[in-house]
Formats: sequence, C-alpha cells, structure tokens
Amino acid sequence: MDIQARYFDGDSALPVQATISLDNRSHSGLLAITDVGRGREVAHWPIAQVQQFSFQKHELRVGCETAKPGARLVITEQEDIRNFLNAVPELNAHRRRHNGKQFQTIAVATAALSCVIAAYIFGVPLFARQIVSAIPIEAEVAFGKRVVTQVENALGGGGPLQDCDTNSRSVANLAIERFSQDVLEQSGSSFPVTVSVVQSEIPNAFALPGGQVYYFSALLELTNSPDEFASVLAHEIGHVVNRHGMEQLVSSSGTGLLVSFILGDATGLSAGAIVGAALIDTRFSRDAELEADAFSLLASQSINYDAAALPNLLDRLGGDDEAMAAFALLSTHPMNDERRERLQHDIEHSASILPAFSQDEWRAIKTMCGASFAPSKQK
Amino acid sequence: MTISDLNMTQESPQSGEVNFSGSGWKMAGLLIPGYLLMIPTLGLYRFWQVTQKRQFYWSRTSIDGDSLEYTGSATQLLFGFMLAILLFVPIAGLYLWLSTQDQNSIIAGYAFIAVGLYFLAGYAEYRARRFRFTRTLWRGLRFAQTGNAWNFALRRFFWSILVLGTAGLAYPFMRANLFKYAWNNTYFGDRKFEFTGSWKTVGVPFFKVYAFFVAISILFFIAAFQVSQTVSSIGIAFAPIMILLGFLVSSFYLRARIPSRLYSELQIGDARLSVRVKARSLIWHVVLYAIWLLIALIGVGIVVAIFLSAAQQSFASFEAANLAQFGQLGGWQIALAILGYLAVIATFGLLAETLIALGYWQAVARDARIENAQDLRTVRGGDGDESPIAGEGLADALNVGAY
Repeated sequence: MDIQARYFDGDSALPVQATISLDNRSHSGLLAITDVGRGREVAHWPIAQVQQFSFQKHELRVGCETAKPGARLVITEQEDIRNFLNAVPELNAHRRRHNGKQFQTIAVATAALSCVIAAYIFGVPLFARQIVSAIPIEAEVAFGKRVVTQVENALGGGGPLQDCDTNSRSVANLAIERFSQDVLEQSGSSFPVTVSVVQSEIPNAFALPGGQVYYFSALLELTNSPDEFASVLAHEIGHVVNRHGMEQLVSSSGTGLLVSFILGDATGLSAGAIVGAALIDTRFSRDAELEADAFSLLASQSINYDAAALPNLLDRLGGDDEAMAAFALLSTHPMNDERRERLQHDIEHSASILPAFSQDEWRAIKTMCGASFAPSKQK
Repeated sequence: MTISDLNMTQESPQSGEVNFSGSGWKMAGLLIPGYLLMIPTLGLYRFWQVTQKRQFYWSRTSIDGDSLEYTGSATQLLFGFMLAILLFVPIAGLYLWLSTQDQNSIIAGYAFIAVGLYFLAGYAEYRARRFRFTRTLWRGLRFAQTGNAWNFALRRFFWSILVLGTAGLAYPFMRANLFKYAWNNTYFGDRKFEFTGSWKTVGVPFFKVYAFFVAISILFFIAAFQVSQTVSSIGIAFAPIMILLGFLVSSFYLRARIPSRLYSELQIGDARLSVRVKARSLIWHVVLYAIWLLIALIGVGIVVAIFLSAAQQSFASFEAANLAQFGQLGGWQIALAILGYLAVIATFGLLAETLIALGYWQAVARDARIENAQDLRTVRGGDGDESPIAGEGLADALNVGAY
C-alpha cells in the first residue's frame, strides 16, 4: 500500500513529494514517509500519535504529536485518502473525540449562557433595586430635573408642556396636592412628588425619576370619576416611590450588554439588539406596573376610596381602539387581562368608602384643562 | 488516462500560481447549517461557523500548488469574545452614568466614546490580523506578525484626523503607510515581507478619481451660476444621477485598483506577488448579489403575506380581537417574529458572504501569482507562536475585519 502525499517537515518550506507506507517494525505500527525524489525515508511517525487537522473532504491533513507542530502530510487523491483512513483507523476515533469535544464545549457554553440569561431576567429586578437603593434620593431628584427638560422638549414640540392650571393655589391644584401628600404619607415615603396636569392630545399619565408625575388632558377627559383619577395618580406615585424609573435605567443598560453578547454586536446598534433589549425590558416594566398597581390598591384602602375605578378606566381605554393604539405605543402601561383580573380580585369591597375628591374638587379638576363638566352617573 | 485527466494535470497550478477552488454553493452548504445551529445555541455557534468559514477559505486557496491551513479553533474565538465583552462592562456603566447627565454632557460623552472606540478599532484590527496570520500554515510553516498594535492604532488615528482635515487628500499617504507598517512586520517562517511601494501606489488611481470629482463639481458649479437658465436647470437635474453613477463606478475601480497595486508591491526574499483584480468582475458580483437579494426578498414577502393572511383569518374568527391584543401577542408570535427577523438577517449574510466576499477572494486569487516562487522553498521555520486570543475577540466585538 503506497499512498501519495505532500510532506512538510515543519522546519523548512521545501515541499516533499512522498509516499507513505505502513511499517510494522514496532508493535503499534509506524508510518514510513519516503521522499520520492531522493528515494529515501525522511521520517517515520508512530501511528498512535498521528493527528488529523482540517476536516475537509477534498484533502486530508495529518500531523504527528511528536513531530514539529507544523509538520504535515497532505493527501488529496480520494483513493489515497480512503486507503490512508483504512490504514490508520485511529484517525476516525480521533475525529470522533474531536467532534465530541467540540459538541461538549458548545453544550457547556450554551448552558452557561442560558443560566446567565435566566439569572439576568429573574435577578436583574432585584439587582437593579440594590443599585438604585445606593443612589441617594437627592441625586435622583437632580437627575429627574434634567429628564423633565428632555421629556418636555420631546413631547411639547420643543417647548415645555403647558400646565392646564398655572395657579398653584387653585382648588384643583390644592386638591391634587393634598391627595398626593396623603398617598405619600400612608406609604411612609419622603419623596418629593409634583403632579402636573398638562395639555396633550395623548391619553396618558406617567411618572419620571425624581418625582415628577404627568396627567395629560386627553386622559383627564376620559376619566369619569374622582376615584379613577385618584387610582391613576396613586399608581404613578407608586412608580415614584418604588423608584421604577431609575431601576429601568439600570436594568436596560444591563440588557443592552446581554443582548450584545448574544448577537455578537457589542456596539448594540443593530435592529436586533434594540428590539431584543426592548423585549426583555418589557418584562421588567410589566413587573413594575404590577407593583405600582399594588401600591395604588394599598393607598385606596388606607385613604378609603374605591380602587375598582382603575379597572374601569383601563376597560374604557382598552375598548377604545384609537385611544388604545396611542396609549399602547407611548405609555409604560401594558394593558392586559392578567393585570385587570389581579386588581379586581384584590379589591375588598368595604361599605364605608368615600370618593377621593369632593364634588367641588372634582368639578375643578375636571374643568382645569378647559373641558366642560358633565357629572357622570355613578353605579 | 482520459482526456479530462489530462486537462486536470495541465490545469493544476504551475509554479507561482494562486488558485481558489471554492464555490458559492459549497460555501452556502456550510453556512446554512451553521445559521440553523445558532438557534439552539443562542448564537454561540457563530464562533464555530466563522472557524469553518476560515478553514474553507484557507484550505481551498492554494499557492504554488500547496493549500493554506487555518489552525485556529472556535474555542479561541469564544474566549476572545468573552474577554472583549469585559471591556464593554465599564463602557455600559459609562453609558448609564452619562444618561443621568444633562444634554450637552450626553452629546460630548457619546462623541468621546465613539472616538475612543474608533481608536480601539485600530488596535483590534492589528491584533486580529496577527491572530489570523499566526494561525495560517503554508508548507508546514506559519506566518508571524511583529510590530505594536498601539503604534498601529495611533498611526491610524492621527492619519484619519489628517484625512478629515485635508478633505481626503491625505488618504493615499495613510493607506500606504498603514499597509507598509503591517506588511513590513509580517513574516512567513523566518522571512520578512517587504513593501516596495509608496503613497503613489495608492495615489495614482485615487487622485485620478479625486480629480474627476473635482472637475465634475466645478463644471456643475459653472453650469449653475454662469450659463443660461435652461442649461443650468438641466445640469442641476442631472447632477445627482451623474454623481451617483460616478461614485458607483469609481468605488469599483478603486476597490480593484488600490489593492491590486498595493499587493503587487509585496516582496518576500526574491519572490514577488503580482495581483490584478478587474473592476468589472467586482461589478458582476454586486449585480449577482442584487438579483439574488431581489429573489430572496420576494420569497420573504410571499412567506410574510401568507403568514399575515393566516393571522388575519384567525383574528377575524376572534370576536374581541383589537389592536390592544395584537400588541400583546403571545409567546409564539414573538418567537415567530424573532425567527423571521433572524431568517432575513441570515439571508443577507449568506448572500453577502457567498457572492461579495467569496467573489472578491476568488477575483484576487484568480488574478494573483507569485514570481520567483521557487525562492520560497528556502524559507526556514521562525520562532513565532500563535498569538494570544484577546485581539481577535475585540475585533469581533467591534465588528472590524473581514473573513
């Protein structure tokens, strides 16, 4: 059995046209490599130490553990490759071992990455909370001021958002302030909360880091009762007290890093990275919504108004396709049945509940953005 | 011996020829399973895919009758990338800190990071080049690269500033200087490469194109302000088309001419490389790419249309369906959307790799040869080893470097 091959000794770049023959001088067998041109043996490799490199169909490349690292036999004729593999059956085992090892590496790496992702998704809300609790409230308030400027510029078309009622001593503003203080007091938080009812055609309400809460006039128009208004306000104050804005900031930068790793694009600028990060962050914001709902519920029980009003407003918004579209796109409030059910389930109906705002206060709030007041019939 | 055997013997590479035997179809056969395996491995299979791709290119490229061998492994790429990610942890922290600052600081901060990353990309590029060269084996000997990656990064950085400041006029100097630095630090075994060209190597084709665009701009300027109303309006109407066409043609011309001229100035001992890539073969690759992309997009469009109509039907039978529910699609719809997105990305990648990247490699190999190749037989092994893995990982993370 003579196999044609190119032989390189790993020491010089001189190619040697060689024939390989099996030599049984030792127990385990040797590959005798003969230089065809000079007609003499140039090397002999113990079969047990022959390694395969480059797993390609069109050429077989083998080396030898005890030879120079670059030493190679390169066999290109299909028949010679077959003969060689028959003569050195250990190569198949070697290749299987190599493939097995690669498979193992991939499996371990994938498992490790899955663990990291799972730990991230379940651990980051806790981790983010830890980090945020280390940030002093004053720092968040200072940061919040800058965010307010940015958000107002973005939503107000370059200028600040227009307050519906600029008089801070008006009936409406005083009532809102009193309610906010009550909610804060029952929660034991010392966060400075500012509620602004502003002109906007988007039916939305949201809280920013540092304590600024917005209630848009379009949402106020859709709000039918003082308790609905109170529930939404308490919900937003819940975001402030739980510092969800800061948590979101921390966790989303972590998400970016994780998604970058999975997609292999550390700059995080590809569409996949942005969408992927958004998908994971949605999960966190949903948790935050449920927490704010729970806060709102607790406030209603403590102050003694009807928290069932929030599900009513959610239902009405959910039923209005047009409003819903804008709402779903812009807000951090993913409406879902789970959330509504949970709220309705947790509400204990007490006989002695009173509206969160008096009739006069509610009239003042309802009309503060210029709308006319038509008292709705309560069930 | 049949006639085809005779032909094969005659066609087999004679002295000094460079040959690439791979085809786009074979490459696709290697890439598609790789893309599929990326799903269960959460993307980690890309390191194995890249390794297979390199083995494909290397093993099917033969120089003077002997093929190259890529000796790197996927695990090296994986660990290199993990090391590089560590660098991005403080950058993510910096982003976080920046986002709590005022608007001007944010803009300044992002600009600072972008400049820093651009500088780092030069470092990564040089280290990645070293990673690949030290893992390239030909005739039993590996290539090596000396020089300092920080030095290279600094040169690239300051040259880039100069190029910006001179409206591109300094580009040939930059390109030749960096090329010279990289290749004069490159070895095959114990023998050093030498770049015998100068800025003129890049400058001759570059300034021709530059002068062409300056001339066109002047012409349009004159047409717009000096000549009668009708002539100038025709000129203004045609200007964008002419400029776009000029950019297209000249980009192919430069992509063919500059590397050809640069690589033809490489010498190692008495052996000398000669490369002549033709611009029209590069244009042909892009035309093919566009045709296949169109076919692929039509295919994707049909699949999406089928999916949407199916979705519409299932919603039509569902009373309470509204936009809110559509916005809250369940897990499987999101999974489907992600898969669709990945499929589109994979298609783009597949076509770009099999047509543009492979086509370019093919064009370079076909039109390259080595004069005095027999001189390479006297090269002895150098004492270099495979370089550390960090540089390649960084290049991977920063998306620099091809193949």
